[in-house]
Amino acid sequence: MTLAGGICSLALCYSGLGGVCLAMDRHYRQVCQRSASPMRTQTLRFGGWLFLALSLLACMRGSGASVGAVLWLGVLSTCAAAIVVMLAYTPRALGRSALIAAPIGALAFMVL
Amino acid sequence: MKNAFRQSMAWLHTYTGLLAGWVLYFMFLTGTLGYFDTEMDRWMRPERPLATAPVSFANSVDVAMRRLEQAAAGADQWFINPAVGRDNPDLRIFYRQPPDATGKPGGSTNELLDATTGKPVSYRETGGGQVLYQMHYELHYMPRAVAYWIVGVCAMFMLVALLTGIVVHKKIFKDFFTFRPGKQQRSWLDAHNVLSVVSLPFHLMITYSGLVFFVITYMPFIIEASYGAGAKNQQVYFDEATARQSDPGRAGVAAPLAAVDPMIAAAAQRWGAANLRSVDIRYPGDANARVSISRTTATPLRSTERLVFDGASGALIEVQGAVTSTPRAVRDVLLGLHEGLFAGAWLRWLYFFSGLIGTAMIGTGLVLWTVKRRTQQAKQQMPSASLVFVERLNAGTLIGLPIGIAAYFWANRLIPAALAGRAQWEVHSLFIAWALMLIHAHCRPRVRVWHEQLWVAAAAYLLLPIINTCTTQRHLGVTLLHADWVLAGFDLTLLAVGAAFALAAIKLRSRAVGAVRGKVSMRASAVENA
Repeated sequence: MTLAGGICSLALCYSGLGGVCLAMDRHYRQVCQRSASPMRTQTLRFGGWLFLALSLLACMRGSGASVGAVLWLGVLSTCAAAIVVMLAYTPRALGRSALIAAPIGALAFMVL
Repeated sequence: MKNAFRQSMAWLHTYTGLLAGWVLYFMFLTGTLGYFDTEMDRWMRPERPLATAPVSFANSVDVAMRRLEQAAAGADQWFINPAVGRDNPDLRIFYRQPPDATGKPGGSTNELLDATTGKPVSYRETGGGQVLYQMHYELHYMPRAVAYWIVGVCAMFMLVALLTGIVVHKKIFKDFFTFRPGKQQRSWLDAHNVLSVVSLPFHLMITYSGLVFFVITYMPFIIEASYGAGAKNQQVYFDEATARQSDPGRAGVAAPLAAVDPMIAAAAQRWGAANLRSVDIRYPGDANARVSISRTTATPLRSTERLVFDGASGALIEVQGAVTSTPRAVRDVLLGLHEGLFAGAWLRWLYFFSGLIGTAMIGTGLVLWTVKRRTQQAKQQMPSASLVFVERLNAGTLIGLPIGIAAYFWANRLIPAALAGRAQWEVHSLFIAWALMLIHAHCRPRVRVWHEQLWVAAAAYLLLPIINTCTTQRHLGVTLLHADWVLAGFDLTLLAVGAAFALAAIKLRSRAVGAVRGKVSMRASAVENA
């Protein structure tokens, strides 16, 4: 797995999990201090799961199907842990970083 | 009905976790460190040259063969493992002598060779990362068979704890990202839940596959039922399971070993030169000699293709496929996932972090048990004996064992390189330091124990790179300059671990000071208002 491929799958996974997380009302309020509209919640949830699937594809593309699947589970754990810690201590930074990671991941996915 | 089921699962979760918790903590910590066992081996052998131009597989085998012909002429088995990637940083050979007249198995010897000169290396005698990792399933100071059973029972308890934990965790999806710091019991529970769920696939895999390793030890009657009792019948099963031709045994007729280079070339052509792993020679110099060449693992499937050549004629007689039966392949994938030998640098670090998360899951569970009971027993005069016992054992193990592991590295640097038996003393240092921490935890006042042990741990790890600088030529000043990232990374990780312990100690102190100040001011205001 190249460095670029690794960053791609990490960025996609982080923003995907961030989306799934923010789709939950409790966490959205922690990050943005107000509730989200139903449309936004739907978008975040759909986008989140989509990006998670893309990060799995990125891992498999970089390392083959079997190793890629194992790699993805590890990336998932790491990103989830990072999101939990950020949500507890710096919730607004979570929103911003997920927003930055999303286009980076998507771009890297299309280019690599 | 549902409530009663959940309650009994909660009880089961608590007590399987509590009874096996400390052994599981030991297993998880040593196992997690085991993902960097060969890196640890390299760090613990500072006499090893820094960076060497890689020697080709064929040349390494030639060098090894010359040494084996000289040192182990009549042996039953020669095994050559050239330096292939991180799994084997040095040229390793193994040889086993034939059994003597009474049938007692012959002695076996492991040697590390210099790949250019072919002479055994003179690194300091050390167990390295291998011994630390083996303690993960062999424990220490006990026969292997006993350890396998203890480890197996604890792994079974772990599996039960995981599954009951999933059942008991009511809001497993809703609370996936929930962690509320600063709320005592609530925070410990959140931490325990988050650590478990975030890495749940890893925890389930590692526990189940861990049990699969010794499944034949735990369930021997399955083979007996079909093949009969005794080691010979077991061997029939193994031969069938691995679908390899059974060992023909010594012919007793001398025949010179055919040249190995053409065999290596044939294997390289089949798999690619970068994928050669090892050469296994049975009965060299005998008419029934066999030379097997194995391929490296690249996927979770732990078994790989092997080419078997006739040792006397050099002809290829057998190609053992990686997959011989589906059940065996399933087993080999499970074991392969557990060991993670196929993992490259990225994945290896992810395995390591997942292992640390699992270790922390166990630790937070143990602490949660005491925090909950402290709260329940706050009104009592005397806390219960079991609570005090568990609290002290927690501190002495959760912080004491990492201190012991630091002591293992301290001993590696401080025990003189030429001292006989130093490898054993390195291991003794680990257990002596851990025992001292357990005694400390027992003797010191409860409010000071964790704080003091955290500072000892911080000092133990932060000072190690300095000890390294004073005692060897493989400290950060040298390794960073030469860009030897394995050795430099090890020292940097030690610094990071020490810093983490220091941070925890500082946070604990500020909270303890805050609590004491709060109590003092409350008492002061109570006196004023009285």
